[in-house]
Amino acid sequence: MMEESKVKVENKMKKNETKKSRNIKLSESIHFRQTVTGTIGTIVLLLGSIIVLYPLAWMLATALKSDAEVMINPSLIPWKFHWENFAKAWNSAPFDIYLRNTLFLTVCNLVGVLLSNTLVAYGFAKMEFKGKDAIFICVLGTMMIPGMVTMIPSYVLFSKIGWVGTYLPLIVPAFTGSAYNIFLLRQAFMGINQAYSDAAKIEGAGELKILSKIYVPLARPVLTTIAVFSFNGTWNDYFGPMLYLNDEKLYTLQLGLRTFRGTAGVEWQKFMAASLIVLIPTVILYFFMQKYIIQSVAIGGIKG
Amino acid sequence: MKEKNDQKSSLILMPKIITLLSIITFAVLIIPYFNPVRFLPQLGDWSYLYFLGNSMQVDKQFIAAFPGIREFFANNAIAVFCGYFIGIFTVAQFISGLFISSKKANKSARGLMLLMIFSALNFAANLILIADICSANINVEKLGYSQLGIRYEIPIGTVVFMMLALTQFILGKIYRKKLLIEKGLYIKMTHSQRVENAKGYAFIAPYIIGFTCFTALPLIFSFFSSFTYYNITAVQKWYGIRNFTNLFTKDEYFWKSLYNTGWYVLISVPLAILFAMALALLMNMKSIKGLRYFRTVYYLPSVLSGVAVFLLWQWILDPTAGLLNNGLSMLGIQGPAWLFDAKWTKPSLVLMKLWGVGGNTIILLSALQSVPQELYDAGAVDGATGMKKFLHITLPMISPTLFFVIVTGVSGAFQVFDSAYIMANGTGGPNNSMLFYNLYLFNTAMKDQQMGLASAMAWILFAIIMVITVIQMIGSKKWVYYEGGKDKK
Amino acid sequence: MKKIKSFIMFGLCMALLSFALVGCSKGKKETDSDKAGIDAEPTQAVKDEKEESKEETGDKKPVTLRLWAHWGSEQRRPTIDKIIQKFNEKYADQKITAEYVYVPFGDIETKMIASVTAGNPANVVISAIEDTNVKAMRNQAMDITDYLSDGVAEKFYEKYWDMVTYEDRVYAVPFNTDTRLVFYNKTMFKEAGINVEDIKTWDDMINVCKKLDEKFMGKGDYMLAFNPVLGNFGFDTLAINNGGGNFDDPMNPNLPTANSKQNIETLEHMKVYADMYGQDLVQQAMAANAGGAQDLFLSGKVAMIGQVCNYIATIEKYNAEAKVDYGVFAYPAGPSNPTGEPAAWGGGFVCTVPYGAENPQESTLLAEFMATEGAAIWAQEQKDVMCSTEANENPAMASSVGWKETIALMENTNGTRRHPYAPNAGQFMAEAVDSIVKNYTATDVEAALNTAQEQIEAKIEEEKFIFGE
Repeated sequence: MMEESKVKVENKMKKNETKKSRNIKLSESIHFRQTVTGTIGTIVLLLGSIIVLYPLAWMLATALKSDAEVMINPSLIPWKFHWENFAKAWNSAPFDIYLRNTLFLTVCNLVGVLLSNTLVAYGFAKMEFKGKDAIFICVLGTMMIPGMVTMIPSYVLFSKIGWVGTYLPLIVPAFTGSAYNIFLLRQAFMGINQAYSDAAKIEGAGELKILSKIYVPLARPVLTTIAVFSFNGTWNDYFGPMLYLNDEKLYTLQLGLRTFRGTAGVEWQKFMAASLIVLIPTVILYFFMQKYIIQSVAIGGIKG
Repeated sequence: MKEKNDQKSSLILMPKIITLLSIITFAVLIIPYFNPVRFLPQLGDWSYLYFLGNSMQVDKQFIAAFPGIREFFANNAIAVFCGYFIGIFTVAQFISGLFISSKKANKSARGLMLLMIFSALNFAANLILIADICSANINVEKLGYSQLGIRYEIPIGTVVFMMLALTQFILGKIYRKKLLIEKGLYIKMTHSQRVENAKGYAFIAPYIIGFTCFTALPLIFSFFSSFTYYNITAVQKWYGIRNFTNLFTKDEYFWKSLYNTGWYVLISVPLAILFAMALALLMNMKSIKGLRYFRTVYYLPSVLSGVAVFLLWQWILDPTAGLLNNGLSMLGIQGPAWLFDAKWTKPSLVLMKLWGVGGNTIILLSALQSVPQELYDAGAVDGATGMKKFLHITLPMISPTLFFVIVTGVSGAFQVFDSAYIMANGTGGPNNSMLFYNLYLFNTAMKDQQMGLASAMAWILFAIIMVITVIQMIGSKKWVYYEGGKDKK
Repeated sequence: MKKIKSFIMFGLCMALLSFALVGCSKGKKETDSDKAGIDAEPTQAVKDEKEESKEETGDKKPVTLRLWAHWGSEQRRPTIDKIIQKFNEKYADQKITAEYVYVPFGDIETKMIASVTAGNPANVVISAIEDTNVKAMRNQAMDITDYLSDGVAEKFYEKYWDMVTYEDRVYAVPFNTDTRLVFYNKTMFKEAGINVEDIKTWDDMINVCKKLDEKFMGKGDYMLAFNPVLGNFGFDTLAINNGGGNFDDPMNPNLPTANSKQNIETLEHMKVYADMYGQDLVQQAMAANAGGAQDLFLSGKVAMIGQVCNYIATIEKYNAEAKVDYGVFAYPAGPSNPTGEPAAWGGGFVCTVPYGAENPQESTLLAEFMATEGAAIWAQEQKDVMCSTEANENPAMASSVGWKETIALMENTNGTRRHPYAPNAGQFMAEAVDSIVKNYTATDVEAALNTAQEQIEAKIEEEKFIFGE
């Protein structure tokens, strides 16, 4: 639809041209075209963002309602703004400890994920070794097994080596690479022109150097994406900590959020308030990491 | 000249030796059938006995003489599992051994390959069986073995089998190498190739280590469990392929859940990818103001953790007071009872998924961002307009990432669980319309505690997804373009 | 050279695999052989242990016990902490300390099964009462008969003690329970001129609903008078009220009775409600109920709602604005009720000692404490109905509206146990019931219940085949 309007505008402009002022008119028309599409695009996105944000606004509204109100007032605006619900929610469980634990886990996972997946994906993308394709199919295969059935054997395995009750089952696997990330990075690496590494090889660079100096910067958007996903994944991970942690001093934020759900029902305001609080670091991180996701490294350009 | 003769003679001799060995192995398998009481204690291979005894109804007198064995097998699913497979592999070995000695080169080569595969598998199965028997703390007296003056627990027959299989494997490899040398096809790896090989392995070592340590065993165990009746804490009995046949014939929810899942995949994946693509394209345009704000806003939903989102959407989809129906009524449309109307539950889930499409949008966006601007400029010079630019420049350059999004999207959609579980409160929703395959699996595993059946279901799902992925991979060669590629998969 | 290397690698891999598998299977086989041995010699091992511990009183090692439960909310947490503290004080000289670990509700079963399989479960786990027998049968709960103190059985209502007993052995200690009543809006009743005492039969209920609808339908937020699918009520309570149920004997289920005359009657009765209000209205009400955003009863959308007795506490908490003047009564007995007294279905929780837990003697001590002295504290602070007789003399609750009726109904509140071969029979029943009253996909009551009956029977057959082999 946008393309049509673009073309329409273009045609209209062309009709009114004279040969002499063609060049000037051309630049004007480009500018006009861009403004029109830009405005239409902005409006579309704005409408969409209202739809996207509405549920979050609802969460906020619920968090601000009082006990009495939350059961009977369905509207978006609370009768009174109970900002203290946030403080109450935060204090109803040792969220500060949970926050510290979650940060620790997240950082460890981040390091592990970035390190291991880069290495492994590079191996699949650029190196030649026997059985590469077969092993890669295996990697993909692990993505396709529902985790439910391996849960109990995994638990037993970790229990036999004594890791249950510690953070180890939640950290060590991050250092071994995950199928999703390996696949994504491999695709990214394979999209980078071979010429770069050939040139570097001629100058005598080893594989690791090529990887770190050339491929990593070129694939920075994808790496940042993976980092953000990993952060979110660990931050929001509920099942792993629930299954493997036995000591409340080690619990994470997600486990803390569950305390608001009891058999007697859900404490809606505090639950929503706490969920919003837990949400904030991920948003902040993303907001700052955005520019790395979109910034493409200026390529000098190697022709031919 | 003499060397050549030697080589030639060994080339003729080897296949004959291999064939002979496979015949011997097969004989060892069959002999107990004819004269068990005398021969078997020395060979001591209970698994084959069980395999034979059960299926061919023979050896009643042997079983009577060694009652402990029957009891052992009644409770030991691993041994039975191994026993069946050992039997199958041995027979396969035997047949492929026969092929090797045939005159036709084609048959011979195929036979050789099969022999190597099956002898390796046979070796592995025997090894597992030995480990299992050793760890089972069998009471030798209880089994009646002591009547015959036998004291050791390790069944000699199993060891013999293992060695036979191993020998055949090694001989097969040597033979193969000699064949290749003779045909001049044997390419010895150059030193630099070896180095490259080693480096490659080194790079993927973290994954290999992780896989063997943490993933492989649970996977194998779950595969094995799918042939058992496994109740997690009490019982694990051999069940054969009953799990699978029960699913396909007697189980009414199996087909329903497959249908639900298939529907969900077919509808939600293309929609989600289209949406993500459109959004990413929009956000890639530099002429839109406030891009940073939009990118954050659209990404927010996918960052929200599970439970809060689902509960939120339960409110939104509320037929009377929810946002969606209120909005629709403003446009004059009477909204349906979303989560309570069997026809509308799956569309509700699709809607929810589209809301959270931010993750894939980011991935596509980062791919779009790495398309070099010069390509567009070059295209503009050649007179390419919008749609042409998209089809001939953008799409090919982001095709690797797009391929990734499609494969992971399909694989993920097949395994949909969280949303259905919480929205339907653990049941299958109205008229089981939200009973997705993975949810059904979870209920079977955790509520019914039928791990064997659940494992069978998991492997069926794996097979389905694998087939579809392989099809996608084959198809990808046609449309995925790798810039850094030497035409790789 | 290469082939030797590859061969070695291959062999090593296989060896690694098999040894690891040995490790795995060993764990599993312990469970198998333990099960085989359990019938033969529990008493002996226990007796030995008791003697040992008696000898060591002078030099006891400190024991730490872990208690897993799903009470993490601000409402529950302080009480359980208090109980644990009291336990630690009481048993400090015996060097026994207890520790409470919160495990989210719904996942506590999964965690318990996983830890039992791995061999390192907690010492006491709070779990649902109705599948104690299944847990016992499947080696998930430990037989604590020999560890219990003398005379502990008398401290509980007999029917709850029966629920935790399986084949004459005890597997858990009952903790709390609940019952189901109808909460009604007194103001609405007065305006419609209805007297609660007049409701004596099922037909009376329907007439009352019709009267209320006449008066209030279409006014304000009012949706409907009553529907058993809303709130926390449902088929089970009504069936027990009518002398029906899923199986022939609720305590020792053997034969499924899904399509018994009483059940058919009950479902027909529920269908009356379903037809009276129609699919759209009922589904709207269900949606409003599920989201939890608004409470149907407190916001005046329904005149009556069936709920657990715990709802009293909820109302007291959230009623400040709505100020609903509420009362409770027991749903009247159905036509096939053998005694004519209203009855209800009751669930509840028990303190289980998982199979394979360490220090079984001390664990049982903790379980007993929880259920007796702990229960008294719990009843006071949480206003809950307990299984221990002393704990139910609860002055704190006496002032709450509805407490009296709750205690009165407890006499006739019964739980049901799950059939060991078809623990999920309830699901088949729920489907049959839902198809009529929730999803409106079927109208033939008898056919639906017949289907449920067949399904349950088939399931039992299948399991018997496995175990009977």
